[in-house]
Amino acid sequence: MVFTSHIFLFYFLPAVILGYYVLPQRWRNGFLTLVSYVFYGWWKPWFVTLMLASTLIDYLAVRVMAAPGASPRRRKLALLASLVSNLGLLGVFKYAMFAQGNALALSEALGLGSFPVLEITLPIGISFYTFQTMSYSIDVYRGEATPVRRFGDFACFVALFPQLVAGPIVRFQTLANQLRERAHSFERFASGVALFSLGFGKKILLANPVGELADAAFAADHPGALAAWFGIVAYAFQIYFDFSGYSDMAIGLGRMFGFEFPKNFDSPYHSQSITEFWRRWHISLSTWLRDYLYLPLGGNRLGPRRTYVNLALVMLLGGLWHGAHWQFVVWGAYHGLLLGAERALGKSSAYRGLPKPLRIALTFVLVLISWVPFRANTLTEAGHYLGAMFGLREAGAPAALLMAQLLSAHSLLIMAICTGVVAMRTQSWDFVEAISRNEPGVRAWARLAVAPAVLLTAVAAMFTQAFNPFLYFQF
Amino acid sequence: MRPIALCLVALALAAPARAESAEELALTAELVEIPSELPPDDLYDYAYVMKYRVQGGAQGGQTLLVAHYKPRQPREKIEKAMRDRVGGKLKRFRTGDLHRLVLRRDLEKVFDGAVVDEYFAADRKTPRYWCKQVDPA
Amino acid sequence: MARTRTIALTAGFLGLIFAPPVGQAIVELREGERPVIAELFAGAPAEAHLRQLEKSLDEASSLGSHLRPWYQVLKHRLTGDLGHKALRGREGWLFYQPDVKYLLEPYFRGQGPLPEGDPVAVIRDFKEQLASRGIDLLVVPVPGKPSVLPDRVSAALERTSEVNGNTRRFLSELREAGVETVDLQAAFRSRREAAGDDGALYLRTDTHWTGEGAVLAARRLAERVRRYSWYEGAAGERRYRTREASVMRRGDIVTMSGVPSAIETIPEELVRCRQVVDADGGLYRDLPESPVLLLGDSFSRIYQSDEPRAAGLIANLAYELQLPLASIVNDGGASTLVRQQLARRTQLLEGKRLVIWAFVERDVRFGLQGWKPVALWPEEPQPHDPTPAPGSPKLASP
Repeated sequence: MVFTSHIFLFYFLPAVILGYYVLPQRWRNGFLTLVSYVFYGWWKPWFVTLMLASTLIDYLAVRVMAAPGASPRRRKLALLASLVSNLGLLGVFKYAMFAQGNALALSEALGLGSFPVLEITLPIGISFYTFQTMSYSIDVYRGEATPVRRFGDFACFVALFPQLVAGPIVRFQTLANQLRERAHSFERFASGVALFSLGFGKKILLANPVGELADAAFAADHPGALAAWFGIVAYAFQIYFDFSGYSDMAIGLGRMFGFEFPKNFDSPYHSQSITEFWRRWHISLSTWLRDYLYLPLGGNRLGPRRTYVNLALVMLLGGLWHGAHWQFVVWGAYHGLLLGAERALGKSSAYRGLPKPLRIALTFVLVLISWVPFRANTLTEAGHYLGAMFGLREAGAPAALLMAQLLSAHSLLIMAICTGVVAMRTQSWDFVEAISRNEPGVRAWARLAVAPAVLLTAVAAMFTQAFNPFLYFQF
Repeated sequence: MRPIALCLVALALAAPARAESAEELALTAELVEIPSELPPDDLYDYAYVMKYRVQGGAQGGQTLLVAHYKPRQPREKIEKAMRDRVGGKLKRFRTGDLHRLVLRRDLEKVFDGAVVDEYFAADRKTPRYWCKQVDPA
Repeated sequence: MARTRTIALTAGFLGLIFAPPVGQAIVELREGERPVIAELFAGAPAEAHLRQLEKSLDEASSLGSHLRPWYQVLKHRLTGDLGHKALRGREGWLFYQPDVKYLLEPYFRGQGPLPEGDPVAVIRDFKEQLASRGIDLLVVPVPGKPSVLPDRVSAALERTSEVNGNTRRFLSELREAGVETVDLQAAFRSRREAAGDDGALYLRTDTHWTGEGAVLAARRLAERVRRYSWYEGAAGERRYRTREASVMRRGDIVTMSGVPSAIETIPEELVRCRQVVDADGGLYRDLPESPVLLLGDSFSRIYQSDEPRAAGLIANLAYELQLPLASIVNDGGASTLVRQQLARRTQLLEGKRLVIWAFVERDVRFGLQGWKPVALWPEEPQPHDPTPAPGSPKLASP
């Protein structure tokens, strides 16, 4: 189910809110687990069996691990079982087709003939919930988390519908206490409503319309340089508003049910270096990769060369986490290279001496370039598009038709609004914090009115748009 | 003389009815299949063939293929130009629903526009009916 | 957050999400209908059932039907936007987005699988089926409006800018496959160059050509048809003459935008047509026994069965040839549906010498129902199994 859909907003959510608040406290986690399975199974009902399997494996692995008197070997084996099972699920459902495709290409290149590639459907959100469940077993193994007593609580942590399919990736220890006990208040609920409303608006009113512009630019045969830059800026806005909008809605929904999820975006396009960008973009993934991959690999403790290797490895795997395609590997490698270069320069950019607006602009351009392979369907397409951006590919006559599409009054208005919102110092999180303050007066009411106004307009717009799932669902 | 005259009058009156019943049939049927997503109808006029199973009567259980004009629209909202050929009170086509149908056998004569017929490749022999009127049963 | 504001926001939100489903159910029950949401329990929770339910909820939503026009009008008033199907050109010209999209996207053959079917293979198959009965095929892609009027889309383009390389390539591949074609694009461009302006070939707010555009297409087509050896014998005496007719037409791009404020404010266009009448002054009528059958789409329907009638491509081609035609016109379905219709009426092919197949160029990519092979005489062995393009999936035989 998609948050920005009729069925979610007008049927699922009211039913869940009603059920949740009518039920006694002790049944609420169970209820949330149940409705989260309905939420997840709405795409393809069989998906829920995978999630249930992942949940059971980790729950049992941790039971074994945490059993009184468990030997270190037994603990290690239990952890291994958890990692192998989760990574195995990812391997089969996310990477098997990629591996088959590459094997086929290699086989054909070597003249060894071809073989049929087994098509496998990628279950939505599998990358998110497998990471979450793994974090539980790893944390318990490390002694950083206490094993959960009730299976229901753990199942609720894994399945929790607000952040199930596209994060934020929440570590078990972050939610452990909240699963046992959490406060419900009008204030928290209302701040959740405000955040959800702003996220809903970001997705429907900004991400979807700019996404159409990006799609048009990427679909064109020979876009000119201007159209190509316009298209990639549109995509940068699309992915930001799409994903941060989702995170806002997830955090907002969490608050409606008494949970507090961590912040996932912090004005990433205000970054003055790529290192800073990764502190502000998809924070929960960066943190996860740091805690469960970079640091266990040795982080920066094993000398400069090993640090660069670790960085590159983490970014390559981070790229592959997004999707089993070479474009994501290239995207990860590009970011790894830039992060490595900045680390060599003392965690700062090569242009650190420039004025701040230029540092932000240059970082944005570097990020834009990285979005090309991220958005393109193939590496060849990415190469062509980059060629168009840098004037290395001649624009065809139809490129002017594309510009007519991209430069319509409506498109320009949307792009201007996106630019304005990105440039604003106050982002949705801060905006909601501001309206949560106990300020008197008309201004506070006016600020408060923004959220329902955005939601109402977005709901009206939703009825004019075709089905449009979130970009991060594919990861 | 009088009974004969009455019979003649009755026959004369009945003639158009017979002609109409040769072209039309009325029945109740269950909509068992809408074979694909309904195409958009903003630019094009089209009819779309759906599968029914007749309920009751001599034809009970028989499968029918019925072309509905612009099935995305409620029947009462069909444009004026088609009102003499399309009517009824049905608002939405949903599989599993029972419909009271008035069908015409001469689809090609009634409608010369696009007929989206997903059954064409597999089955050309079963006749396609034009739905003149459809109401919820 | 002050408690009053908190309660107001919470209450407003809960009102917004609870009122629509309750209101919708009440409306549906009052109208004697089962609420759409009840469909959730009408079948097993399979994917198809759930998608259908979502679609039904969207379509039935009273809230949606009230909010949609409000938002469309707001966007239209603020930016002139007419939705995702319309592109505003210069000086009040409107274009249909799929027409533009067709020109912008890379040529589709040779790019990998063609899930909608391969038009070249399907057309060659159709030609060979007809040839087995001694019937010729003439394929006529009709240029979309932006192909002929690129300078009306963007000031950066010239009247002579070549924007439809895709159709040129398609025509060339058809010719390589042994299919005869007529290139209307060349004729339309010559007209524009000679006329110096837009050539009055297309309607300003509609996807279709003007009466004059239809006449020009008919003339160009007739030039080719007259060169068939059988034509002289078939034409006979002069039967048709023409007269002027005009009609007011509301552009279909405006109508399909569904934006109420646009429908109210964008004016209808006056279209001058050349109407074809027979010796008795009666409007042109098809003759099923004609040696020529035209398969067409809405470009063949406009002014023909639409008002003012007998003034479209078909009547004007008949006038140019002085020969009545048979025709099957299938709006938007000229890629596959029109051949299916013909396959249901193969008796229409008896005595035919030529089939003209005209379809708008965008349908090469976006035709309703794609490009499916259709066996005209399925009981007979087919002359040719359409070979898929390299990399395209095998086409299923009917």
